Amino acid sequence: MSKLSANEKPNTPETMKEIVEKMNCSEDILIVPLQLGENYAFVLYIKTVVDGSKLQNIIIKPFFELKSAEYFASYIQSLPDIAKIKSGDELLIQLTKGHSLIAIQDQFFLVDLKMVTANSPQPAIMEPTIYGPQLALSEALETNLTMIRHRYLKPSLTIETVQLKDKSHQTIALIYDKQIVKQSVLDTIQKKIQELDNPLIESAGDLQLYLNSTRFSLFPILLLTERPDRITYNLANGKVVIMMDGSPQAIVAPVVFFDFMVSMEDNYHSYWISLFTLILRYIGLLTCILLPAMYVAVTSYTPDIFRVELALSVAGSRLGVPYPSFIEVLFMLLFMEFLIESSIRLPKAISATATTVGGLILGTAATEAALTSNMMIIVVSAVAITSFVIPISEMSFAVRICRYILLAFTTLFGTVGLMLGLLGIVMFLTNKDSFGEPFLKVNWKSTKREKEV
Amino acid sequence: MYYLIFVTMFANIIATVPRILVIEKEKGVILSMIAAVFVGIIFTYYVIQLFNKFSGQTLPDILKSYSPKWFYIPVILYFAVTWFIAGIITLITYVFLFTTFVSLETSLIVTALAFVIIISFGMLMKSGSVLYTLEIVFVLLLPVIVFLFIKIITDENLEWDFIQVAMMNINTTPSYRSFTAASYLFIGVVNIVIFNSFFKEKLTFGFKQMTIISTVGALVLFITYFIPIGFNGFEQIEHMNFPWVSTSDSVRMKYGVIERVVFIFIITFLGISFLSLLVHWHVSLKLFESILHFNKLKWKNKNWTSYFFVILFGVVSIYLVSIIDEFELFKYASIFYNTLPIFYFILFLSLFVAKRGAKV
Repeated sequence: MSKLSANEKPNTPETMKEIVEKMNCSEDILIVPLQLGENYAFVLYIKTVVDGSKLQNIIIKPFFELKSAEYFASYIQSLPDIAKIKSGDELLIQLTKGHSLIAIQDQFFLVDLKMVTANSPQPAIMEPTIYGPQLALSEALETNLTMIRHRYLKPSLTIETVQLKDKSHQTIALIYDKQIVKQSVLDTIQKKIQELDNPLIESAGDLQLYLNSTRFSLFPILLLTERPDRITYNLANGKVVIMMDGSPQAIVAPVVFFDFMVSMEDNYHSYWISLFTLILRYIGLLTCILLPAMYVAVTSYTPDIFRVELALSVAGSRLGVPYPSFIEVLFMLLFMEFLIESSIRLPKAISATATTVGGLILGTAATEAALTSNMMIIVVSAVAITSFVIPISEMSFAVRICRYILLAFTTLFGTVGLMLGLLGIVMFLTNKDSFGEPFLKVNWKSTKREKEV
Repeated sequence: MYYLIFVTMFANIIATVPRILVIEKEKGVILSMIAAVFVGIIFTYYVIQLFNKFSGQTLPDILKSYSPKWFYIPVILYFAVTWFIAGIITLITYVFLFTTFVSLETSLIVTALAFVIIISFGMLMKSGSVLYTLEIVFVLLLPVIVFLFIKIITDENLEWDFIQVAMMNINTTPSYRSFTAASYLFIGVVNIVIFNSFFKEKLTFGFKQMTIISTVGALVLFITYFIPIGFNGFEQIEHMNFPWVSTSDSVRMKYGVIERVVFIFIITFLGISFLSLLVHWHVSLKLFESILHFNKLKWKNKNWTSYFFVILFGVVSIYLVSIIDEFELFKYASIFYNTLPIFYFILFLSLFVAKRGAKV
């Protein structure tokens, strides 16, 4: 290429023009010509995804400081963020991800100048602990990977990145400890990710659903977490962690049922305290599943199970309630679910009002109107409280639904239905598997494994 | 492995076994029980030894590869039917028991239906999952059972004199009927015909294991027989249809939320008999599947043979529940127990045939 005189304008390279046309001349695509004397270069980037100050410091400044275009080219080549140029559409995707294309004379370079938004770790909201790290993952993959690397300093930690084939072209990172990961599980997960063909996957939650093989599933077979300490703990146990760009949750696979019942807090307390809380959680789980159905069984089918005094007081509190107990239970449970649902969805300022009003309805008013018994109010509140004892909310939702199945079964078949329904749920859980690992199973070899998070 | 044996043992407490023992009380039950423990343990030992030679294979697999077709089809069919009957005896007994003691208003068929629905799902599970279920439920229920036994044995209403009276009959010669009923407790090991595919490495069955199984077996057997007598008296006991449940009904828990022990007892044994039913029918289903495979029942690229059997099992059991009464059940159950030696014989015969075929 011939050298230009100082005032002559260089021509924009044809490839760059093509790229702009391919991208439908969107307004945020810029081609910036850099010119100093007879040296010139072009930078093509998308303004909205490229970090402006990085661009200024890394690309534009050195251009004016270095003597010639050759110097500049070799400078660019030695940048740590330089990326391989790929052909065709993939180049476009790279551009949309925050790379900028630099043309120096005949040479083209691709430099990663991604503007990282939301890269600050957020406080843990879903799985708070008293002790232990207070910060959860951030929404940027790079930051998250950095966090994990910082916490898990083992050379065998492997990070694989895969690009999704959907419309969002998000990056997925597979993280595992090469030494201890179960190869069969890893292979299944990799295959599953390769096979994904959903039009749009937006967050780790989405991805988790699509990785799940069955379409209608109730219990999660992958664990979503936002705690970096949980992630490292799982990595150390040989599990695979999947992270997605733009999502503050990571997916852990494979998981067993017990994983869902453990909070990270358990590792930070002394033995007896964590055992106590663990037992507490299992009691909570049982109460949450059993209590509504038990109420129906006891009031409508077999009141004689309880000792006489108790049976009488249960029956006494149901005086004046005009319909069978299962309608009563269903009615109150539904109200409670509405309350929970609305307080999750509403903005914080309004949700306080909603819960207060709802609490009034569920409280004395419903009893006074003889719509439910006093006992039922206790049952419903116990159920509501205990359903939040389960640390992972995914499981908590599944359990909430289980409750209705058991309720229906009890309503149909009485006390036998209650017990058999429970056994049925246990069977259902044991029959599930998470990437080839049985979901519910007693582990005798080491009790430690039950605590695996 | 232990689970398979133990579940069958415990399940028999509420089944017809104690009733048969009690009726035969003057015909040398004690000796036949002792004999049953020995025979049971030897039987268990040999079954495990024989299956160890074919580790990782189910009985149908073994027979198909090592014996002629005219031989293995009737044998497996016989096993499958036996298993199905064993399951149905448990089912019907429990359904009767539940309606008698807990909810009189619920009809037999509704209760049976509840069982059948859940069991149908259980039968269709993978064999591994059946084992996991067995393990987890059994482990959860075991403390309750032990608690119940201790509670009942330490109860002040238990009259040891009656037990001593029962002991007096030790020198009468054992009867065939009580022997077969008692040895039924040890039949759990036979479930290995299907679950053997899970025991990839050889099962060690040495002195330690034998001691555990024989101790537990003997303990369960003697508790089964003596405790109801201790509560209800040697003379009166034979008038009861469910000696054990009536026994547990005589115990109270003063400070419990549930005062009458019988309810805890029934609910716990619901779990146990459920497991026993699950295992029996699962094995039966697998055996049926291994010989009968209807290619016609293909629909939407899926073979519905197993579904067909599950529905068949359900329909047959509900029909039987509705026609049989307690006395007929008892009669048929004892006939079934009496045929068990034939069953043992055929099992060993087929295994020996297979062994010769395999030349191991």
